[in-house]
Amino acid sequence: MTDLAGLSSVFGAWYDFRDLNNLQRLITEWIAEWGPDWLASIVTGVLGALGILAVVGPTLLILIWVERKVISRFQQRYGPNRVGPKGLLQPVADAVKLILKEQLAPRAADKLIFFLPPVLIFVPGILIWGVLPFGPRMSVADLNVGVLFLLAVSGTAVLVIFMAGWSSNNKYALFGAMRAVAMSISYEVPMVLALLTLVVFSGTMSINGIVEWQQQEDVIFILLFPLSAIAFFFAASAELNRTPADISEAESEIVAGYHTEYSGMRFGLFYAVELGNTLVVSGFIATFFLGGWWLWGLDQWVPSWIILLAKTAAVYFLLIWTRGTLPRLRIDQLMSFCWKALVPATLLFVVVAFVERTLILSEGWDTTVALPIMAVFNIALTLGAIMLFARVARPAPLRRPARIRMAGADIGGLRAARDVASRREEPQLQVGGD
Amino acid sequence: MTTRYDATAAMEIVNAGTPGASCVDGGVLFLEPESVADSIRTLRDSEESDLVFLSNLTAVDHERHFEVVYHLQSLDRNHILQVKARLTDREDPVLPSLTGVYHGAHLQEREVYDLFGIRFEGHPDLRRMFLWDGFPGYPLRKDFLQMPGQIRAGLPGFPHESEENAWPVPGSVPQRPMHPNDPQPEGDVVVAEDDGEAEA
Amino acid sequence: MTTADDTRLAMQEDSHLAMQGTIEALTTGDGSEPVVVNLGPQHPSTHGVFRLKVTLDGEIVQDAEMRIGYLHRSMEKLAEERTYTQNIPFTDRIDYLAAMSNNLAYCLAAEELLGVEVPPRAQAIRVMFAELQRVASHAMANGTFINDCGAWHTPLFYMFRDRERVLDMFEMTCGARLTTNYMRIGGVAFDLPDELLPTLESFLADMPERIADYEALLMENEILHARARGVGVISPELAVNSSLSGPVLRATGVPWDLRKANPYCGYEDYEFDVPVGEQGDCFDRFLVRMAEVKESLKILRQVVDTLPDGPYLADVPLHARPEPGEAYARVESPRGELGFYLVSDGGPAPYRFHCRPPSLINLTALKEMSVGGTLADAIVTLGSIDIVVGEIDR
Repeated sequence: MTDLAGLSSVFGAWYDFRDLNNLQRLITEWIAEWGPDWLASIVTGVLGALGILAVVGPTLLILIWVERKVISRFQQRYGPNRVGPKGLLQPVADAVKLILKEQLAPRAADKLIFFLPPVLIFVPGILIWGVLPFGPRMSVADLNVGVLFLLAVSGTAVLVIFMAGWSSNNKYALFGAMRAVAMSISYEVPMVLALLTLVVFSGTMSINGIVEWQQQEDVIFILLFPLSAIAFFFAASAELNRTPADISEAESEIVAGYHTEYSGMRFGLFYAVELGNTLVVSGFIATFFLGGWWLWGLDQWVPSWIILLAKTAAVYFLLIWTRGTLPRLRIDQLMSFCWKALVPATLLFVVVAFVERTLILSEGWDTTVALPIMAVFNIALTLGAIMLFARVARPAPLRRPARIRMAGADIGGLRAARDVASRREEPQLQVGGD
Repeated sequence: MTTRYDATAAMEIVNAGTPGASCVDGGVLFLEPESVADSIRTLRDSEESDLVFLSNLTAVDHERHFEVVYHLQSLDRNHILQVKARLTDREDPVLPSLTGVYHGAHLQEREVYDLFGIRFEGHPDLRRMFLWDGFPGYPLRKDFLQMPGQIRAGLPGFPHESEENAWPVPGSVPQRPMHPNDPQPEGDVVVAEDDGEAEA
Repeated sequence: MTTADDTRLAMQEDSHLAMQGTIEALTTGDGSEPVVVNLGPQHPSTHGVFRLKVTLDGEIVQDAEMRIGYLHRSMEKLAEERTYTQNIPFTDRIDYLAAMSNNLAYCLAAEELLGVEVPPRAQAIRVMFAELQRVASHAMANGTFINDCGAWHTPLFYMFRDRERVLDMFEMTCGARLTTNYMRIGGVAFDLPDELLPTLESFLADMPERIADYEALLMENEILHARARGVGVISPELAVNSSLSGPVLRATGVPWDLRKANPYCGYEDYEFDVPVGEQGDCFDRFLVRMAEVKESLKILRQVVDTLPDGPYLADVPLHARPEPGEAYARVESPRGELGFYLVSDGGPAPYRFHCRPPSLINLTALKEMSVGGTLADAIVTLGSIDIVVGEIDR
């Protein structure tokens, strides 16, 4: 039994969970004194999982409120404001309603495969949280191949989506599922390549290692590899089925996509996981590209998990913003954007990262000088690539501007139409075009 | 301002192609039913009339005959011409379809077929539009006075759910007493059988 | 087989269960059969109970067939049993997003039958409300169009702000927001309330800024361009031949607007212009509607400045019995050429009451517009035509 006085050093302050791993280590050591090794692993694993669930559950409820409230503010309305103070209890009311609703299943559905997805979708959704570092020693599993784990686990979600879409025996669901599969597989490529840039440059596949590298070099990756950050952001929003890439549940086209036939809490689970994934992906964007729990020394004064949450909230807000503003792309446009723009661009930056890393390692360049230069170079390269893309990859119909002319005195049919079109004066309105 | 195109001038244009295909009565151009499509095509293609736009196509049940009414518009010359065709056969009124002349006649002819039972020969897709196949009778005919099957309060169910709710056999349609606003039929009006078959 | 059997079969074929469909077409054969997907009658972007049956090869539309009639209320038959004045509320329900325009078109037809002279103040009020209705209807059309392009309701809610203000003005004038029943044969039902003109003034003052906002948000939006440009294209020749009208026709470049071509209610006294597009695609229709709102505001300004005094309703008996004859009156409703064809036999009720529905006739070319594009394009095309199912089915 370790001395209880040590606990005061474990908890530096009541709000500071930074050294939770110390507690975990204490428990492990304490169990190891009298019990077998496997018991220690199980106990710490269960504790970590409970911790994650305790965080994720309430967070999902709050997120529903946040998302609805923020979106409604974008749309010039109040949003939920009836249940509880400021509508805060609205998600609870929603959850109660969803639980009480009848759970329908189509007669022709493949029953087993139909019932599984709402449960299975939770597995990757929760597993991802395990590798998110809330602090230097504050993640459930600090794997040395954390990046690989993240990509592998998040890739399995598409299987569940396909199960849901296929088993529903509904054409909308099937279309949604097929679109989701096509899109996920495509967008995983730029996602992997964007992360590969970081892995190559920082030389580690551990997620905490990447944050520590940013802390060590006093730089955040979005400055070094902005294009990778943008590509990762877009690819992630595509994987999350959020506008402008929500084609797999495009409301105006295929009703609700793969979860069209799910009702009651089964739908609620899909919905909750989607929101949870959005938050955790925002967390990973914050971790990989914005420095995670580290913020130029502020992490010495403020608990690291608060810093991470603040950055996550910022990214999450950006995701809500794009969702509230942009229309949806068509599936062929999404695909061509992925394969013709994101993949080459991220590949380019993998090469750039490799070259720059080699320069630092073999030439022994001083990173305090080299990194700012590289950042400037990479930002210029990013801007150049975006402008090149905007010029080259524009579809043909968009190259001509759309013009509105005024008919003036020419009122009539086809002859008048020719007269109006042949007039030389400036059109009333002209938008778009190169 | 849209002017009315002179019916006599239109008659001359039509009759130049097919003599006797049209006549003017009371300032309205009447076309022979058999050659309606050809006559209107002539009017559309003629430089003078230039009636390129089918503004409206509908029918009126005049009890002894049907009148199919076309409103043809010239956009560039900005004049409108009303053209009519009379159909005396109430059992199986047939008229050539205008779909070959104006694509815009497509849905309007289907509507007239649905509600009046006038068949348009040559229409590529002549089916009922608002009502379902098998609906007994054509509601806009003046002899269609009441929904068959009597209207029951509270919607007991859909017709296909049980025999009780099914539409009655044609011919047993109960006739409702005349309303003061109903047009009073004069003379011997030919009342068509409601033959609920979905022909054509 | 009895008719009952026929009917049952027909209804089963039409029933919702059969509609939602199974995926047989995909699981049988070599897996390369086209899939028939029903959009509607319960679907987020069919704007009512409208059903579009598309045959898809992958995502490409091979055939599009519409099934309508879910909202058929047999108005043309009902109207034959009611007096001319009693029929006015029916016209509200025909196109419930442009009730004022429908009122107006019907009243014009009835006035033509009865030979009624409408006082100048009533004419001006009619123009005012017809144009307000156009602003409201185009706000709705453009908002839902962007929604169909996949935006998450934000532009719709922006545009609804303006529509709300117009509907508020309707409410303060005639007590109803949607089904206004405001126009009468010979004028309008009530004179303008005192508070209307100040409200309209502030509305006119605010709108240019609002429209500038929308243009900033939408017109240079690259995704919207990518979704709507070159989609649902129709040539001016086919558009005229298909009897298309309204913004759908004008987007192809044909400058046909009944307010100019056949001015009614004194439209010839107001200065405005007719915007026409170039390509005839969905984006041009959107732009034409945007530009038309601006022109409507111009007209409204002139109406407010030159509003004459005098009676607002001519003396027309409630149970008017027009001479036997017929009348066909058309107005430029927000959706296009809206006509009413009335036949009188000298009785108190119209012998025949026919509405020329622009929504229905504009759908004639839907197949031509959507075949060859993707499913998403078909939705955008349908949204850009701006249908109102009440008017399609009547």
